[in-house]
Amino acid sequence: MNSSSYINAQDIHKQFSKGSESIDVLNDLDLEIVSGDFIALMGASGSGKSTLLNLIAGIDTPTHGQIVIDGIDIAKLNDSQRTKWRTNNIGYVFQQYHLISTLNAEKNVELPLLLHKLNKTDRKKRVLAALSLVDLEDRAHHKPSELSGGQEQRVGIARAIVTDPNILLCDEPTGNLDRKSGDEILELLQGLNSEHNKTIIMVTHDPHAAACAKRILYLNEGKVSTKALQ
Amino acid sequence: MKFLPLIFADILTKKVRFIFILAALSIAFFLFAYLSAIKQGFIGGVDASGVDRMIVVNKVSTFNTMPISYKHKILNVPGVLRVSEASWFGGYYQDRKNTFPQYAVHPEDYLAMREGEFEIDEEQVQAWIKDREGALIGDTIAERFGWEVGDRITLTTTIWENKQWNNDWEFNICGIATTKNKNVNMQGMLFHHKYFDEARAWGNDQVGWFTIQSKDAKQLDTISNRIDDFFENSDNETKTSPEKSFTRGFINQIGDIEAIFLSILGVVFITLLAVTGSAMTQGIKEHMSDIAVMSVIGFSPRFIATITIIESVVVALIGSSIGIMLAWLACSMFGDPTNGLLPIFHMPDLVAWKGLGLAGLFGFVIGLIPVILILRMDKVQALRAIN
Repeated sequence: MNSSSYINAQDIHKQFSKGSESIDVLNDLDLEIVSGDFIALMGASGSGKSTLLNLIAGIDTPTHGQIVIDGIDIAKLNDSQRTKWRTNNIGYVFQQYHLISTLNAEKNVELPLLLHKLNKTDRKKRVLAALSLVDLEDRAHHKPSELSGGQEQRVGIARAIVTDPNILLCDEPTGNLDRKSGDEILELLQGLNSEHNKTIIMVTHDPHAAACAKRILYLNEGKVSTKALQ
Repeated sequence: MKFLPLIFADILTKKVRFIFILAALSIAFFLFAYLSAIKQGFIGGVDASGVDRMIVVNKVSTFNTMPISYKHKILNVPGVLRVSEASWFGGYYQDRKNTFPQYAVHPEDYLAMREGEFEIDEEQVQAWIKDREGALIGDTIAERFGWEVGDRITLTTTIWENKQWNNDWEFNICGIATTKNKNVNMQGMLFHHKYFDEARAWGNDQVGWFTIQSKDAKQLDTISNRIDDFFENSDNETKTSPEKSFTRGFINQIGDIEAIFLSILGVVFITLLAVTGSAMTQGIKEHMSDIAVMSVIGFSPRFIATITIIESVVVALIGSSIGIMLAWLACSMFGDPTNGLLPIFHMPDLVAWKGLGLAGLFGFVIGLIPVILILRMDKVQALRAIN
């Protein structure tokens, strides 16, 4: 284990049961990511990209193996501890944005802050700062239906960074966007990585998007490789 | 407070469904409050009955009369403080639909045993006592027919002919009584039993019942037994019971009001539970993606479940408040729906509180169904479903 690694996954095995059948999605996977890295995770459908993302986010636990993030083995935490840990350390960006349709951009971004002991003024300050970072402060009072796809995704990113987590997990963040909007999102992620030192793991099918990352990792047969499967 | 937007975000997601749920809840709680007012109209008299009073009726039935001479015999029974004879007049004003209760009573004894129940100007009381044809009326009936002190009115009775062999009887309005007790019947009219007895063509020296005031409210059973024993084997045996029991028994002749009330509401609420419960469960199912996202953000299933329960209770409270308010308005603006058959008609304040309590409980129970779904939700599966 490299002492400088921020995320260290060792011997990760994840098995799913489907009826009487067991499917091994991840097989003794090892992964090391340093702080401030920007990883693009690629692979065929069903290769385990989203499963790996869920394990790093603490949404799911490995069948066996350990995932140490910033010195904490999150696989050993119970559900409630993992939830609390996730609140402070992880920002999650979804492919389909998943904003709450009846809340405006400001209220959507504020959501994760409701779990922190902050007063209304402090919450507002942080929400506006996050919206400003994604260049959407003038859309604070717009509902998701009044925003374009690219703008919705930027609100989604603002929601992910508003608690100032160290790690951003992005599940195909440009998958639903046209090239121009997609490029804007990628530029934004690059900025968050380079200027704000966020560690980013981005699942993508798009080589153009993957090219924006510092490193590209491929998932194949449940293992990580730096080389794409030909 | 900071979670309020979350609660209302969910409620407002499907406005049409929210309006239908509110409408269903409003109708159910309107029925609850309005039927409660009707029930109170029937049984309110029980609450207003005196704890120290008893009613003596003919043992055969309440329709059979007794000799007025019983009054002095009853007065001699140990423990009896006062006795007032009373008879049912059964009259209406101008039109048969204008029925209301009228009782022929002994003015002084009747008022003495109801001290504090009414408020009447002393001059009006004295005027009534002195006027043989005088009548004392409740303010509700005065307002209904626009009667004032000094008016001379004619009532027609379907039971009693007067000495001129017609059914029209004249009375002078001597006093109008008011009360602060909402359970006291203020739709009634009292007049002199003496006038009634002397003027009627038949049935003289007979009374419908006696109202007795005891010296000690704890001795009602003993006094009742003494009176009934005294008249045992006479031509008119008596049945004496506390006024509360008598009133309740009288109401029960119509039917078990409580059981009727509960069965109607039972059906309404079970239907509502099924309809609203399924609508809210459907709503939560449609929200599973939001719930999965909230779960990823860091909201625990228990927290989301709590928000869901609160949302359900809030919806139930809003719907029930609308229904209860409408019932209160209907009771206040339109009054007795039976046009005078209910002696008292109002929605007691307690009904509103009971309604809100019931709504809270209802909302909690309805909320439990989606909560089970949330607590059983597999986050990974839910996430897979939304991506």
